[in-house]
Amino acid sequence: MKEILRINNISKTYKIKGAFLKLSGFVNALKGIFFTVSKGETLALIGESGSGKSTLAFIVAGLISPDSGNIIYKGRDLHALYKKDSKIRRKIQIIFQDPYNTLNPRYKVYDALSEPVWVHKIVSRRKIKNEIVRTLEMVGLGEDYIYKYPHELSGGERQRIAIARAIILKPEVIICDEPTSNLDLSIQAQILNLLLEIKKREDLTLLFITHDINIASFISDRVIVLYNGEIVEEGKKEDIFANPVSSYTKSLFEASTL
Amino acid sequence: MKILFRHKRGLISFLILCGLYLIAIFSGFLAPYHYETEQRLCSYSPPTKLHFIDSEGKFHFKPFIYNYSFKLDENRRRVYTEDKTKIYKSNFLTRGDKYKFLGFIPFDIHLFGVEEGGRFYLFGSDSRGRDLFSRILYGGRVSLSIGVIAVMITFSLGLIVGGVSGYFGGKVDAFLMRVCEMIMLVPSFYLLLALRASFPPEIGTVKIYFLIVIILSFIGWASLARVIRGIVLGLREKEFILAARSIGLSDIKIIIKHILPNTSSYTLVAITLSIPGYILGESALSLLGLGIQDPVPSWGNLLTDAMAIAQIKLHPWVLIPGFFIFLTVIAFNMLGDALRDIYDPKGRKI
Ligand SMILES: Nc1ncnc2c1ncn2[C@@H]1O[C@H](COP(=O)(O)OP(=O)(O)O)[C@@H](O)[C@H]1O
Ligand SMILES: [Mg+2]
Repeated sequence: MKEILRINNISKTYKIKGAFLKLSGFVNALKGIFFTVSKGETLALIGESGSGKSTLAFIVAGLISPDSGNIIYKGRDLHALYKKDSKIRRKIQIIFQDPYNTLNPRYKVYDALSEPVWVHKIVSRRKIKNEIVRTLEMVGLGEDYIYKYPHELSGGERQRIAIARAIILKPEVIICDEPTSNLDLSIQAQILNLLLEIKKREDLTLLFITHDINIASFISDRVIVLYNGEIVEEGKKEDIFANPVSSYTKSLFEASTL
Repeated sequence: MKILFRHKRGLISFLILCGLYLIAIFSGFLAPYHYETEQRLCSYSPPTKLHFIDSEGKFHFKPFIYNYSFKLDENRRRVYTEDKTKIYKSNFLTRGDKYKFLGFIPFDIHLFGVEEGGRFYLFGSDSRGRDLFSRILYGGRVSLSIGVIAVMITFSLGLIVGGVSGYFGGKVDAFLMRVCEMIMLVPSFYLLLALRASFPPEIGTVKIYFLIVIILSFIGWASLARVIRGIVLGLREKEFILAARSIGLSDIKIIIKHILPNTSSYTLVAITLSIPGYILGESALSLLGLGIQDPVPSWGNLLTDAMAIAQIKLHPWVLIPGFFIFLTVIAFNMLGDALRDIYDPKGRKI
């Protein structure tokens, strides 16, 4: 399959500020990560809390810069592209973990979804509403949601709006940073199914981040296991779940009831 | 807004403030005299009594007044008594001193007044026989507007500096915050006096007005910028801000469209609670003779008359301007508290 993203030796160290802005320590969140993402696949990134998953997601989405290394998108340096032309951002979208902070509390659904449309001039001004209604339909919400505020929506509904905000830009890659970990179990399944359905329909590539190997085995084609900022396991889902190589992955599987 | 109407104290203070501002806006029409009209023969005349029944026992639907004449007592102070030989009928919509309606339409009709020759002092008069009531109404124009204008400048400055500082962080943040701290270090009243002292004492009223506005705003913005910065620092990491960045919105647009609106519940409360400070600042300067200069009235310089205990004892009505300052300050504080009650449960969620 064709490569769409190459994560090339990415490292990130956070400085920890103590009192009076003095440097009091460092956290090596990512330590030289390499992997590639192929077009059309769902790649699950598994790791416990603090293993650096969000840091990696934010770097790929261009929200923070790596200390070293780069990301190659279709043969070109992604962060250089982001700097040169912010229009490239529509190609790679991100869905966040916390549904309660993912929407501006002062924006109605209409405002939240029209913003990406006018920033990227997806459709003409007259057609914005149509486009929003069409996208809401794709995430399983009716037209009546247009004028609702986030506080009127449930966690699952907010996450659907977040998905709509991403797909309205017709991206190629969607990074999902534990999009269901703050939701009820029954809602989790609905959102996962929705993501798979949209992925198929829109021919998307998913970089799916989770700490839950059940979710990873449900959604992914390929799996990468991250531990302490390093990749400890990488391979086809079937291979890894059948015989994991690293001892960390083995302990992960034992801890969960697969 | 709607919630405010269910909040009793909030509603009352809001209505009081609306009333005060309407009075200030229409002061020319509501005041029976122009603020400069003086009558030396009526220096420190006490508040004029309104009468309904004349000496012959006849009832008048519209109240009337007698003029006051004075004798000197053993200390050569004026003692005023009513001169009952002639009555002066009061009337609505009478012609009187010329003024500019709303500041630009020449006009000479006043809401009420008395017949030609009568001198009518609802709140008494000052040393030069000027009507204190009229002067208080005119004084409201200065005192009430100065707070609002200064607060708007302060908040624009504070929001911009705090927003930029919190959003960009790093060196920009460190520099801007040190500047704020330097301003905040100086006790504000001394800063006020020092800044005023660096300008010539005698300048035109309009210039003094804007000078005071600028001085007051300069003092206020720093502490606000610090608070806004704190809020922005918290908001910056919120996912909806990250989402806005990931769709490629520019930093400036993110600050304007996503960050500053989410500080607005705090800002609104802070604005309301800080206006009294500006009004008191103007009053303090004017009281010390450093602010708005006589004959133009402001509530602060009207109180200059009340600086001596003897004055208060002999002419207690000179304290009335203080009551208006008090009422305004209390009303703004009550409104601010009410807004905080209304916003706080929500504010914490953001
Ligand atoms: N802004 C930050 N400043 C300092 N340390 C951070 C910051 N963000 C994350 N970290 C640290 O980096 C490590 C990885 O964090 P993160 O990428 O959020 O992990 P995950 O998403 O897998 O839970 C953690 O130890 C975390 O404490
Ligand atoms: Mg995370």
